[in-house]
Amino acid sequence: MSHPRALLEISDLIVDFDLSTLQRIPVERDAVVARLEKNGQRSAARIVARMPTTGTILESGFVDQLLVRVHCEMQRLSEEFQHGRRVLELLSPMLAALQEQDESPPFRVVDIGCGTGYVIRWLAAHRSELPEGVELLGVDFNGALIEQATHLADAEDLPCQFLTENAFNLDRPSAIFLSTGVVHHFRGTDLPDFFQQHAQTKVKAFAHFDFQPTIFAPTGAWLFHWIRMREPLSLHDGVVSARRAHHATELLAAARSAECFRCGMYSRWVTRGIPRVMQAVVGIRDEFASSFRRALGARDQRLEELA
Amino acid sequence: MIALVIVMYLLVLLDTSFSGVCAASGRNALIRKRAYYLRSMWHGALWGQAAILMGLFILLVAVQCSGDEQRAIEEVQEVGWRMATAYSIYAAIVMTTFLVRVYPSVDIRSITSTVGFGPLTLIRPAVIVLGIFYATLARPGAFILLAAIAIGLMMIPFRVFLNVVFARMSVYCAPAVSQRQLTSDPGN
Repeated sequence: MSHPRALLEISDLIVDFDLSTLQRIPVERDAVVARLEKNGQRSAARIVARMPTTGTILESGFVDQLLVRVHCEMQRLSEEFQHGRRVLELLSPMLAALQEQDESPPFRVVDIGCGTGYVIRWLAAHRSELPEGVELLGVDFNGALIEQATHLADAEDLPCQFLTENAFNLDRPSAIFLSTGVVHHFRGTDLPDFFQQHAQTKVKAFAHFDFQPTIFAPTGAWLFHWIRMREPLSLHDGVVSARRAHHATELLAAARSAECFRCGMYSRWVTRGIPRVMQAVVGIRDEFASSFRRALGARDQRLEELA
Repeated sequence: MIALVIVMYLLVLLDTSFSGVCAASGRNALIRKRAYYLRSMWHGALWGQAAILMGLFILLVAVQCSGDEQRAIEEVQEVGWRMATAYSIYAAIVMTTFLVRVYPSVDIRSITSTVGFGPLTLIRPAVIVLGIFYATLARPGAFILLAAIAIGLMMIPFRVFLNVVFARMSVYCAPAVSQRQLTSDPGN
């Protein structure tokens, strides 16, 4: 078995995209199986080996439906962890800081790698708790997930939008970037590159939530996913995500490599010795930093050094 | 006896309706899901009625086969109250966790999931076995003992059974079945 940090997630391997055109690239099942086996992940290899193919290529329709089901199961965990409310509690002071510094709306809030768009749709459903002039947008490379997100938003008449786009190439400037469970997918130099791309846009702030890799995380994640998940892929990837999540020091070093932002970790501990499941790396442009801290109010204690 | 029947019925009703919520969770990706979950509770409780009827049938057969009906009925009461006691404690803990969840704090609500509902879901089969074990301490006759074990064993996989049933029902198969569809198509 590989070192936890070198573990692979099935969902990263069974779909592939051309990063310039975002066109789907066919994926050979046997190549994925071989890669997982070589990495010592035999149970993951067995999950992929059972997936249907057309010739040697994984059936894209099957993979899309599977990923929609997996995201549906992941949403259940987000609901149980009150993730929408958690994001709102951090987003609101960020927006307040922008308003205080006379930034003019619209404030475009973009969820990177939004999947089926839970966070954006949740925020849209609680629109009344957000200030005027906020635009909610979810982006993802996976068109099938974006289609599902759009369908779900339409089903509830939610005022938000979803695009199959790269968040860093959007036609209009974004005010705030969000993500959940995305940053651990960036490994090695891709992680600082990800944050440096923030600096190249006009984005004013960001908050990227991900699992916190505490000593409880591997067992807790396994137990919780084992109880809650039905799809073997959900169980596998959920546990691997928790095991290979970046430590705060690593996240901060990468985030701070992107100049222009003052960065800090947010919301790591409920109280001394009791970690939260999710942590967030937060960044905000210098001119908004003090307003942001003020707007956080009592929650300012949750924000570690902003530097 | 009537009190025992009412208590057991309420416990089964609670268990099966919450089993419906568990089986429906993670299948629908809408944000507003009150109607969806209410429906899942209703479906769980409906299947629960079938389980109750089957349990009653098992008990009737056990009493008939015991040879001494009066004694068998007394044993059923003794065993039943013991099981009801064990399951009531579990139900009380579950309901208390719900009460805690009412408090409007993201952290407290999250903690109720991680250290409350998650583990409580996990130990449900163990609680059922524990209830049967506690009942056996009353030393009932073989038929009543077998009936208690059979009813317990029937309830252990109830959530798995509901999962299988829900996976075949259209209302639980589409991630975007909306409130409108839920309320306009009660046959689902």
